[in-house]
Amino acid sequence: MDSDNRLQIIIKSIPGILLMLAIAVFTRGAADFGFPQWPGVESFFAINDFTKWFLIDILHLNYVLLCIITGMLIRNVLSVPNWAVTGIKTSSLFIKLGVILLGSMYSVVDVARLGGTGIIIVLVFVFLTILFTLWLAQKMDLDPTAAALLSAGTAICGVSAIIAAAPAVRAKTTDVVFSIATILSFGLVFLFVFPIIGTLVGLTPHQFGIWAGTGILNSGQILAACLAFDPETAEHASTSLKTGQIYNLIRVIFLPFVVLILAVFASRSAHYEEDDININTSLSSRFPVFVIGFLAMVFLTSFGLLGQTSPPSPELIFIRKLYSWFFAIGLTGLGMQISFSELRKAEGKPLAVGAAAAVFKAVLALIVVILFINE
Amino acid sequence: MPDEKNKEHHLMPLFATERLEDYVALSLALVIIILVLVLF
Repeated sequence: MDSDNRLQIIIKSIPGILLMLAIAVFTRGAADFGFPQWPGVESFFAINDFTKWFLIDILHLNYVLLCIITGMLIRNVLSVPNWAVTGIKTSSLFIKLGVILLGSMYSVVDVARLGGTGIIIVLVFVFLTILFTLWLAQKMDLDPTAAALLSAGTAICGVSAIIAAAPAVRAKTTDVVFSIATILSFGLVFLFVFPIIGTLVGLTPHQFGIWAGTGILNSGQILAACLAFDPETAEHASTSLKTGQIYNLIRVIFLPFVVLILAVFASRSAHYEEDDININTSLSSRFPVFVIGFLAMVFLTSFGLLGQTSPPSPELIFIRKLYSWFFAIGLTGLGMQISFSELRKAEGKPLAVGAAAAVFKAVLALIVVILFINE
Repeated sequence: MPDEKNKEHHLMPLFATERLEDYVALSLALVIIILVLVLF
């Protein structure tokens, strides 16, 4: 790609980014841009006690879910306009940028406090889920490569884990598509169900963060569920989001090991035409390096370079507002990439195995959180 | 026509690889932090 071409693509992406921003402003309101006259769609839900209770307190239908739903409706009912397609593909960039800046919410003390318990919980869940998924897939006579992909998707963090594991287990394209569709379908169900169950069971924001960070399959959906349960504002940092993201990041750290184990499993179970298995490319090149940025932000915050954390300094308040907007834009674009027909592809054996593994993990995580996590 | 429309949905992505997107996110975050530190 030469520089002219690259410039052309950057220019072509601007209309799509503006469309995502417009939808984000529609749902979040325009007060941050100096127009308090438009308070956002969410504020209309609080118009009377019943709608406030049902839509906000129970369904947690805040700007995060509204951004995704609006995006999905535009994609599936109206279809995405051609001029916006290139820009919408930048949605993952906005989510990554949001995650990096999210590091400003943590200090080393927080991570150290989570330390032992967090790592043990995540480790146990990652390997239990893998073993359960592989065992069930074998019982249901599912193809080993599809089973390996599903176990990566359910045990670590959804789509990125599937993509990272695919070359290591030499998965077929159809396996990848079916696994992604299965994981996304269930992630989507969990995204809406988790906050409702969390409310009904009476989980605290901290407990919910651990449950979501352990039980939900995809980073973006953990983010959305946590923000739906415990909304983030400039004055109130979301405890659920903070805890959920730490648990999710611990889980991501295990990705290279999981890929390695699955590669060994698949090489033993599946039949290949060639003999050698080269997993180096997936292990080194699939690691999400933007996580390093998140860690750098944690250190900057811990050493006070961005001002005091409690009460938050003007720098931290500004950064929090900024990453909320990045998430709103990114999640709108994420919604605009989910097609109902792709979701319908999740059928048959992969769906059954993925569903059983996802529900197994979610229920077990809820039990562990209720029994062993205080607060 | 539907095929043509479908092709449009598979335009060249902004970033050639996931890794490149990670680096762009890291660079933009660095610029933002520098601006925040300078402005506040």
